[in-house]
Amino acid sequence: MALETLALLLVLGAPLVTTLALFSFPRRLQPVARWLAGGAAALSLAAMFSLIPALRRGDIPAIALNWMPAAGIQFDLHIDWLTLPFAITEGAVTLLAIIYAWGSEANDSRAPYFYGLLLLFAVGMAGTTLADGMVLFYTFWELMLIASCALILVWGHASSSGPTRRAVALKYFIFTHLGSLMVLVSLVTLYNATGTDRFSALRAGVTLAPGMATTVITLFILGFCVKMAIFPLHIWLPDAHTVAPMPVTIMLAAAMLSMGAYGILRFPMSIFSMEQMQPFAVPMMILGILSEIYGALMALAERDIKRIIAYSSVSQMGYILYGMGTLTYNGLAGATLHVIYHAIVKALLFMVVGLVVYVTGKRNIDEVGGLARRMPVVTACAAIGILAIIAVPPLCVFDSEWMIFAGGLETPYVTLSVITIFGSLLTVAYALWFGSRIFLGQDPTETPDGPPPQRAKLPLTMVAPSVLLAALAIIEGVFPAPLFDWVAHELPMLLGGRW
Amino acid sequence: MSGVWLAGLILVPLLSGSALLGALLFTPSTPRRRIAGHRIALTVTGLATVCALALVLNGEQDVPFQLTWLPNAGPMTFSLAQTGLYAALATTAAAFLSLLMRNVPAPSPSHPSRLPSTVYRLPSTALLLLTLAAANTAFLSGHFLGRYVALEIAGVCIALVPLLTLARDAGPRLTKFVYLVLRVGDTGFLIAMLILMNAAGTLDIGPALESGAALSGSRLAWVIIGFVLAVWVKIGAWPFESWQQAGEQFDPASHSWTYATVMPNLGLYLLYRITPLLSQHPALRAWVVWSSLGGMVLVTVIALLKRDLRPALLYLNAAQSGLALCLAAAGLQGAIVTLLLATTPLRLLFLWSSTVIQEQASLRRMAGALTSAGGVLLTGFNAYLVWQLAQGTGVPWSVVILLAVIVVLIGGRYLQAAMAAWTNQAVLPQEPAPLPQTIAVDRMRGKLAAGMRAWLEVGFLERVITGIPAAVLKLAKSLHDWIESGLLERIITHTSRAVTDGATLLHRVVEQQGLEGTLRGTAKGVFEFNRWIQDRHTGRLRANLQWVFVVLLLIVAMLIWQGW
Repeated sequence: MALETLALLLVLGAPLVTTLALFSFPRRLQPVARWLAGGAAALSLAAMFSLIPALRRGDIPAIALNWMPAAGIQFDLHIDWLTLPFAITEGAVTLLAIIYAWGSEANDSRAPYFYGLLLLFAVGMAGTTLADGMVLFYTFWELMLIASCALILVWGHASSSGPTRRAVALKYFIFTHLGSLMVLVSLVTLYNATGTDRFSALRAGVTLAPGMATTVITLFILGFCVKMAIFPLHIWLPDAHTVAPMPVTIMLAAAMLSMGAYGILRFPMSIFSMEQMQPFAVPMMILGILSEIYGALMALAERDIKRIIAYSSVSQMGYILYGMGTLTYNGLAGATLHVIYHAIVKALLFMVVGLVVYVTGKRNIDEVGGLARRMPVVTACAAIGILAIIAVPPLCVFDSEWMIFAGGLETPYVTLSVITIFGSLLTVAYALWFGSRIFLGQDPTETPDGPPPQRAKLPLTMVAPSVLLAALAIIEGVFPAPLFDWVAHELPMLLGGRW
Repeated sequence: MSGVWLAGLILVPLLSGSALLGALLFTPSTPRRRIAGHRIALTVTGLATVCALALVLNGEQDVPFQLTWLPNAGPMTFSLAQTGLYAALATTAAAFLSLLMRNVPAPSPSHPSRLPSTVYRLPSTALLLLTLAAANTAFLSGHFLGRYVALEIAGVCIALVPLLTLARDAGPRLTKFVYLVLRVGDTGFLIAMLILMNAAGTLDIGPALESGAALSGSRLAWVIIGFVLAVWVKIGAWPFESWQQAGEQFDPASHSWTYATVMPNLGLYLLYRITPLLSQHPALRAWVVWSSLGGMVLVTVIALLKRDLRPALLYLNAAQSGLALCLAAAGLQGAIVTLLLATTPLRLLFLWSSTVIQEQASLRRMAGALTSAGGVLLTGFNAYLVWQLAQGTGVPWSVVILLAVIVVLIGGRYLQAAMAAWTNQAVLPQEPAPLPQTIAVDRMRGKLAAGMRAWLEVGFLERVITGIPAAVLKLAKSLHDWIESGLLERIITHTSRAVTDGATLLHRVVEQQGLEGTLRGTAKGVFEFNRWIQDRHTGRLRANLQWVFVVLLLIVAMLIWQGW
């Protein structure tokens, strides 16, 4: 067995075997469940990185197994340049979320199931990106939903005034499944038209009637927009992000949302030509702008700090959709980069929010304040996260926004681009408000005659990932060339590669 | 050699500022440290001034240094053109002078803690050095991306001053406000340079600006609007002078340099670069002239009604900025650089004088004399600029006349302050305490001032500038209530209710009444028939025998009927 094949198997196999072990022997493995989960996630991530040299050589590591031979459906896994950024983002986010969970979640009798489901969620996402066939893609796509839904249902933290976790899980399931069904219709149509479910065969060309092609593309975009939580299909997101336990929220926001973007790049943009995609450019750009502005406005109106960051995701996904809608080299490259940078920054901000909730036990922004003195390191991380999300150079998000905006101004729709760029001022408004209210000003619990605030004791496993992500936000911003290189390799695979 | 001077101009302030900021984070701020920090900043800015002077004297040279950061943006280079160097020199020297002007005695060894808390603030000193490094990078950058990054970093440093120096509540609020306003300008700058990059294929400032001529009308309009917005915010022309207002709360160095010099100079230099573009769009050119003129009239009136010189300076500078915009619209590119070089020392002089007039009675007469000299110089210079404007630049005579009046009024305001200081009348109570209004003119002036303050400053300006975030927030909340919690939730609730109700109805009609009802009715009928048969057959022997007899009779009847 070639080394690359082994690595590709490890990407999915390590978390899957660990999940099975955790589910099979929960009592015996409870004391080491967290370590096993962390180890499996680390192994999976390391395996992904080990595949990069093969990609640089021009190889495409793949595994092909017979699955449903009568239908011509195979169990094909592969990794290419389009897969790589998404797979590595998902793998890294999973590892950090599991490490964060060591500090934030109780190591009780349910821990093996919790970590097992987290790994299953990760398998769903990794499988979605690695799948080289439509049926396999959809299988992993649904696995991702089932695992995350179970995590919300069992471990969710519903507030007394808000909806119950059962209601939230149901809403999340139904909404995202609705999107999945739209995707499924398109996949089945493509399968019927080509007789194969392999991506490589689809990329070679699909002949559909013009009306059918339009329907398929529309359903793909709408279905994946549900996963990306684009306005007005975002309604599942705020509740799911708020109720889910923090490690799950981190994975949902930083990794799972990007699966929608991957879907758009993998299907409509890889299969159909520039001419076929052209009619969708303006609608995608407009939807992106609406989402960007609406999400930012909702973040300004919210009081729950978890929901503020959740709405921020709606806004940031708007930038990504806008970038993809430009159908330009810069726009698509910027959108892919934004997926990665958004993952870094959003994971960081959610981790910070988790630490704030850990220390204060409060989620209402009006009930917290002046935490900089109690949590200086977390404040520094939050400051970097906030400056990054408002695209202050040379932090990472600036690089991707720069490319997205540049792509937008290459199109004939300058006014749309101007609106997008000015819309980013709303991000500045809510991010600065969020940071200043939580970390600066007066602590509402502090009394003038009371003792000075003491530094909060925080679990290292919760602080260390935050510090790492803050450092990454700077490093990726200052040295963007390696990631740009990855993304540049992906672009010839999109829209016929005519750049 | 130019590389060494450049390092002295940029790298040394950057490293010193970073070191000071680091020291601030990890060690407590004692009076001795604050004084040491001040001395370090003084030395560094002095050194940077020397380096800037050396670069100016060496003339234009190539800098063998370039940096590729974003792969699609090309290499970032430095450009040692004379105008940029002059701007850097003026700004750096102003930083040195503003630090030098802080003539506060060192604490005595016996009472080291007596140093007032407002002087020698280590954060503002560190931020001053970082801002200087960023500003010099912006002046000398030959690449739009480099300049944008430098401008953003300068903006962040300037916005951080209130956060690190003021009280817990006021600091964060002002930081948010200042950054947001400055970011509005940077957003305009970003739009303009991205359009130019798209047209020219490069972000090198010279070729990119030249490509503006080939742009279509709408794209050129966006470029000009973006650049003008950036300039408008940075130079603090009305109504964007409001971000500079925050500077009045800081120590003199922060106020006079970080808030009143560096960003306006960056704005003026940008205006100098984009002036040729303005002439290519006559409609926008006219719009710039008239709107800046309107702003000038407004701020000049406000400045005249301010009794204290220090707050009036903000409005006088805003009027001066309006004049700069008019000059640019008229295509007087050279005049912009001259304006930058002339107003930088005068601005420092006026700020220093206004502080002295208020706080040091012994130096009040000297400050008054200097203010009057500065006022005369400025008026003369402004008059020269207006005269140049009148020389066939295509600006209407009505504009020229109005500008002349404004220039006289600005000069008059400086002279009025100087006279007050000279005659020792500069008691200068804080507004809104009224001066004795003995004559009708005084009373009228007082009423007008109060009205202007209420409607234009507090009412209009506050509502427009500081009211925007509140309005956005209100809109966001309304949207949230209406769409997020209202419309979307209602759609979902109603949809799910419709589906549930429909399912219940379907269940009742089809499942219960239709299919199950039919089945149940059939079963019931069969059961009843069976029971009836059963009733007639079982348990009753006599009745059963009767049945046998009846059946036999029926069989016989049938047989007969069949022909048997």
